[in-house]
Amino acid sequence: MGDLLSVRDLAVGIGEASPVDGISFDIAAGETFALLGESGCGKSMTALALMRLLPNVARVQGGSVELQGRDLLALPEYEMRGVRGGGMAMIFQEPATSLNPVVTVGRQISEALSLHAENGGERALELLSAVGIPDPRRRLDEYPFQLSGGMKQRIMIAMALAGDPKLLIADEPTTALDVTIQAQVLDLLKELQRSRGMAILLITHDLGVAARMADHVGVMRSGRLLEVAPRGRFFAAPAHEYSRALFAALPENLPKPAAKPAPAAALLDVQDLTVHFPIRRGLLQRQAGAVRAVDGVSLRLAPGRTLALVGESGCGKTTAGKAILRLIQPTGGRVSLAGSPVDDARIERVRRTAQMVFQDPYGSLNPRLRIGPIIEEGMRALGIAGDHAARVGELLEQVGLTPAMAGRYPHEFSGGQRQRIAIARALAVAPKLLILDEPTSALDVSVQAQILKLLAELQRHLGLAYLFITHNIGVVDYIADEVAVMYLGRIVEHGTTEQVLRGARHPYTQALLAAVPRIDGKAGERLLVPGDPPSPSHPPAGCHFHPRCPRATDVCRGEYPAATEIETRHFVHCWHAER
Amino acid sequence: MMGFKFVLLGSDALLFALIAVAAVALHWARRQDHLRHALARVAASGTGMAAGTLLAVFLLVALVDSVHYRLRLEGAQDAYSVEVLSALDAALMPLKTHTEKTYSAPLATHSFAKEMREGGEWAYPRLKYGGARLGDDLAARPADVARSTVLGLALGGAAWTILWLAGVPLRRRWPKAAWKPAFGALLGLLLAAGPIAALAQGYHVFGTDKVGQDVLYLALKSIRTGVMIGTLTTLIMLPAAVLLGIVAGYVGGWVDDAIQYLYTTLNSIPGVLLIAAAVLMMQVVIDTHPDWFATAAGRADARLLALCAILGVTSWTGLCRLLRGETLKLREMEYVQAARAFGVSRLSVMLRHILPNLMHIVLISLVMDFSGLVLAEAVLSYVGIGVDPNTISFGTMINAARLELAREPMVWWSLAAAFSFMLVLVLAANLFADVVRDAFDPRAA
Repeated sequence: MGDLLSVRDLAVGIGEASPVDGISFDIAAGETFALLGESGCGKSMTALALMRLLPNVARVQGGSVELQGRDLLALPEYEMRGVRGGGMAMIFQEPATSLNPVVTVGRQISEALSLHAENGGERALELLSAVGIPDPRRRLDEYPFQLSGGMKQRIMIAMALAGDPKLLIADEPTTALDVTIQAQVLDLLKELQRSRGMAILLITHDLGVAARMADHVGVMRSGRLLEVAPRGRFFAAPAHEYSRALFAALPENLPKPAAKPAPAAALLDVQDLTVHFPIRRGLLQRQAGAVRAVDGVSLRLAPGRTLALVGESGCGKTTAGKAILRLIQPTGGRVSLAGSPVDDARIERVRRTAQMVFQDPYGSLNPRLRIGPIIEEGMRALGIAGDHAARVGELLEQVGLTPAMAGRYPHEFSGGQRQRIAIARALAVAPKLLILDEPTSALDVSVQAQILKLLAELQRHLGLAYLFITHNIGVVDYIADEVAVMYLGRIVEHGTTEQVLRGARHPYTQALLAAVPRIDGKAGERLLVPGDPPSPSHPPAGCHFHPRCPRATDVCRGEYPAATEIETRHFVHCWHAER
Repeated sequence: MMGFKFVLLGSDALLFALIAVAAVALHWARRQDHLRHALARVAASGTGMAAGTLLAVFLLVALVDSVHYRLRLEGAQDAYSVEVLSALDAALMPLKTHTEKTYSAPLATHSFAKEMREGGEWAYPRLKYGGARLGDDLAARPADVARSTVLGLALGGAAWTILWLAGVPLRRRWPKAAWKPAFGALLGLLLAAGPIAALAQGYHVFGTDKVGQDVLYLALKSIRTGVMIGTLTTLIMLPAAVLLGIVAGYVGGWVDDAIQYLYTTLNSIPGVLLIAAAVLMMQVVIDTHPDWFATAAGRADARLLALCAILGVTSWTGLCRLLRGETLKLREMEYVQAARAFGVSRLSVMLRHILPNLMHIVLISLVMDFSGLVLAEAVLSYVGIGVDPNTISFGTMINAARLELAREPMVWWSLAAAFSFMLVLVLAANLFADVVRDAFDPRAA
């Protein structure tokens, strides 16, 4: 038997429900098995069952788990402790909460090593170097808050490696990370797998990540494994209907919406928008510096069209969106909407013209209010006359829900339905512009497809303009007419979707595009940027990107590049854009 | 024909007003669809109904004890006794007047302390009322106690049956409510109260205290003081804590600084000293204006209200701080941002989006404070700055009992009575609030 791990008919029950309902699969030594599925399909529960770390309410109801021929489910707990860490180790989705914030990194790794501090320190150093942490000796004495998200995930991997596991269970290891950091971490996992001959059980919802990492793929839904296939076969010809539906739901596979109106007079015109958050220090709270969250952003958006604002977390894209609506007070620049400038005196008109849809469908609806009052709120606040109840019913139908739902509370709805409600709320005041702040990033891919289709349809019917803030390139390709790429508070490249996604000139855009895991598994010409984005309170001198840029020269270190027009309306801020 | 006139003390008026407001709020809530569902969930909870029944009985005792009157002096046309009685006193008249000389144990026939008789012999004197109906036949006491207990159980059972039958229309009207636990709690209560009432006819069921007062009477009278301190203080503290907490958290800036400064300063003054100073000042004011109060009860009541006020002023800071922190979290929630994007005013954001999402915290800390305040009253009475020494309260009872714990044999009954009454009161309040909080949380439904 060449299989390292062999799972047979594993079933987990919570009360009446069975989140894992009899699944079987094998993982060979040194191989990566991707367990693919949408949220709630039971993939994380499977991993916890393998580690025997199920929550108290859940019980293994049957089946067997064999690691190197030992039946794990039959082991007494004290032997199981040896298996955890030694036989198999686990890393989790959220690196920010997986590390103890008040203990130094070195001590946390030593704890995982369960060795004495002196030689534990040496081993910890080795592990940190193995996971590619620069200057590991200094990092040992640092606390988790001093590290970036990608760095924390590397530390978590180092801790998992401490016991030299044969199998690494990675539960959505890169979901909380930015795409360029995700690429770094995935590469690291592959590298470690190769050098240590370690098997990986990769739990993910991302077809791209699975395509990039897996040898075998298992598709899970409602606690069952629907299909297990080698990567090549799975991505070439998925056998199960549900797998095919997953592929069809990918934004790049959605049928493109109909042609849009040609760019006309700008609905939204943003000139040199800046938002600097003061950093205050000392007794008198004197300003000691500023976080340059948005540092001179200019945008134009015509009615009925979609502009995607793309960038990684912390680049200022959400702050820019909120500053346009004056949810955050801008510190400089001009914004005009439908020809008239936005200022505090005319704020009411802005509220009617532009509205916002937020990222987190669970945080954007007040749990104490029913759907009707939630949607009505804008009409009441802006004093819009008419039969509000009838309008609420109409709006609910418009977003694909039924008017009867107005009497229910938000907790009775799924994430996708909540996002529809949030869209209905924004539409209630009949705006011309919607600022969509990552509206689909908290949703499963099939739900995301429905929301994207709904948005495209609403745009066609109502002639809405969208400012679509996102980090997901696939979504950009589907919905956007134009793309602006943001890095550290500034736009580095701006053009039509075709120009930016197919003919990117800025090295950051190129890196961003290359880092997106593609489902055809082709890595293509890989341009991996090292390191983490710098802090917006201390942006690097010159071009902000130069510390991570492979093409950086002296001129990049000296001065910020002005816009270069490559083609009509395709601008790039790079000294080397011509090449 | 004995005449009397009603006396409305300040605290009575506040308590009745509070009950009226609660009744109106309940009536209003029943017409709001979603609140009606929440109330139905409270009614459907066994724990909630049982705890609610106990609380209602305590509240009833406090209410009956809040109907005050003065008797007309015999032979006088327009002169009334200076003693203010309550309806509860009238109901418990034998208990109130049957005072012994000093301590006696529960159900005792003899005093707890020896006394010199004529002839220089030390002996336990016979009680004046305790077991008086036995006459000299002391051997009959166990049989008499047993007979009274059985009679009391029968009475309790009968009373319960009558209530059960009287409750038929209620049960028919709201068939989904958890009536069984409610009537179960009532049955337990009546089966305990029946024998106590029957035994109290001939004995001191919980013994007597230092000056010979019946402890059962004291414990029943203490309920009103406890309920008063618990409810009136929270009533004073709540608006300040909620308003300042939310405003500090949501508005921020210098408003936040000012409010934080206020409660930090207030918090850094030792609470007991502040209360002592305020209560003593109040006492001086009361003492220099004897003309303000017609009776001693009026004076004691003014001191009770003053105590509630000063406890309220010193105890809002904890809740305020908690609510400020929670508001800081909530104001960043996306639904608050969405409301701001519609230009909803600050006031309505606070009322519609912040306050309802804080109510569970308010409710929990209200109940925690209720029990804490009942206990604080005991501590303050010990230091001598609590309620008026003439006011009967758990605090004064415990304080008096404390001194006798070192005695051999121990005088335990005052403490035990105060302890068990307080325990049932606070436990019922805690359980009830827990159920209410769960029921009003739409996510848990």
